[in-house]
Amino acid sequence: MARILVIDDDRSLLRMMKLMLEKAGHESILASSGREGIQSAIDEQPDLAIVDVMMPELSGYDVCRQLRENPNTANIPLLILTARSQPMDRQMAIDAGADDFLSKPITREDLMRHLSQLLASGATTVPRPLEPEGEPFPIGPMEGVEIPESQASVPAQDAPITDIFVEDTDRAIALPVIAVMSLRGGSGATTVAINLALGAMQHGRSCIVDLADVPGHVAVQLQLTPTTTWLNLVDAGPQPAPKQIGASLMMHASAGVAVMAAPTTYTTERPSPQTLRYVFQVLSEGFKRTVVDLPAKIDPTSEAVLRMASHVVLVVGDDLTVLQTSSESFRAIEALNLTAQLHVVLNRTRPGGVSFEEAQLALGREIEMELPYEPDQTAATAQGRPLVMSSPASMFSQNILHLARML
Amino acid sequence: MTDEIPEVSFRQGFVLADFLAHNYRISGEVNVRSRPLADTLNDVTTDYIEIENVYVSPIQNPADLKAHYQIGSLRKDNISKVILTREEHGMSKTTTYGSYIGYTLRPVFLTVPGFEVRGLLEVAPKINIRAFMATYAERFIPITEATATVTLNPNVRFQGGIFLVNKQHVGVFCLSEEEE
Repeated sequence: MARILVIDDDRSLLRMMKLMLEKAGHESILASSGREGIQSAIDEQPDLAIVDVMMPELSGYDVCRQLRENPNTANIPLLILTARSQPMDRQMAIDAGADDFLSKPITREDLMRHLSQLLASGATTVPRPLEPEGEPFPIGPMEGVEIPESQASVPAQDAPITDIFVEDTDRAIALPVIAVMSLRGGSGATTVAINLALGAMQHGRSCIVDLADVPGHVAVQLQLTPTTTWLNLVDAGPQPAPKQIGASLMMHASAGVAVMAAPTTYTTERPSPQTLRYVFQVLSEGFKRTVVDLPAKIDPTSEAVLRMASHVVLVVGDDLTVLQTSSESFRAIEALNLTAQLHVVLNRTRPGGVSFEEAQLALGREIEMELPYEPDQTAATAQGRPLVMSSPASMFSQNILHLARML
Repeated sequence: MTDEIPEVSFRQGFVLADFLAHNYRISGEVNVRSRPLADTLNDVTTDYIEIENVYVSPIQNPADLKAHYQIGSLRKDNISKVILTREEHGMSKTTTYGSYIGYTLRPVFLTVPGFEVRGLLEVAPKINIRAFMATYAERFIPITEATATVTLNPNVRFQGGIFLVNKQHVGVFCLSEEEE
């Protein structure tokens, strides 16, 4: 069953759609104007929206554009259902951000078929290229590696993937990847990663890749049932087709973020560093930021991701003993020469704990940011609505949003 | 019961049509009281047609919704053609002719100001084009499976199950010899 928002100024059609959707086992949310529809989309976070074009004040095209511009509604699959059925109307709908276009009159069977397809595929089964900005890719530290000038200045949209892909040279070009890891499980790194991915959506479309220990917690925290995971890419060779990469993403309509989930059962398989670099490269064409939730250990996979990330967020808890014994892990990270990209964040997962100064002292290095304990964190996780969404004014969310801006 | 709702359509008794004038595309709903739109257009007792929920677009950018009005009135003689998605919304499909006449569908090409129109026209086998234009009783000629392109911008193209073309606006009228 899906929650489907119908936006149409024709109230009799709304009633008819409600009957049809409920008969098909879906829950309907009705809105009789564009503005009401946008507000409903923000408040209700439907799994899909059906939008009429011909509405007074705000047309269906305007509704689609505004939904796509809002990070909280950007990834809701949109179906335009209109009586204006000319080829240019279809193009206009697609340009406005619609995922599918149907013209009235349409049979119930056809409508239901399209709804099922769109619900299955999500809004963006294939990562969509960003608008060309003319900006070069963020280029990370490249000590000891010479990047040809032609590559270093290639605008994002023009950069051929295979040309940028540099085999066996992980540090060649840093990707727009934010790696999040902790020195010990239970520090809340996954929570930070999810909220950071949502916060990053304020600056462009973002996705989150769960490479933490399987079964991953990202899907659990977002209350997703993974139907596809990164395991789908493992057998696809070093350079999976972009469509295959897109198909391995799930769109979480409520949280509004694309998720590449970890397998639900334990597996020793991991994507190779070459595959990961290629996947992140493809994702960077559709997402401004890719947040990667890493396991709390330095294994070959996490080491490769740390090396290719443009930023590394190291989440530490406020347990004094753990802080003191984390020095060994820290040395391993420092050996990767990540100083420039590293951001240490103190995440308080319980009330009290050591002071900020004590934490810095125990850790033996500077902590960049403190994320305060939030009593609502547990409820937010239980509801699948991370704090950045459910309580954006909280200090935790504000600090996360600040971190997202910094990165 | 949704089983009684076979399709998502327009308001009861209304059809939605695109009215093309020389410079504008006007989309709106016409209360046809469940009859084909051709009946309303060819009604000689009025020169106007009333449209509800009217959207106006310039012909050079016909997807752009420039203006909306709750109700509007169009002069029939200023409409060059009307586009409908389904043939049955434009004209009755139940019309029958004497079996000895044997009407056939023939490809047609015609021009109206600003547009070239291609489609199929149902005519008698031995049609005289001049006589057809002179003696066709109705104001709007039904062209089925039709396509219209804007003469000065062929990228702008309209399609429909049926076009109702204003006979008074027709410049060139060509009929293929081949039957469809």
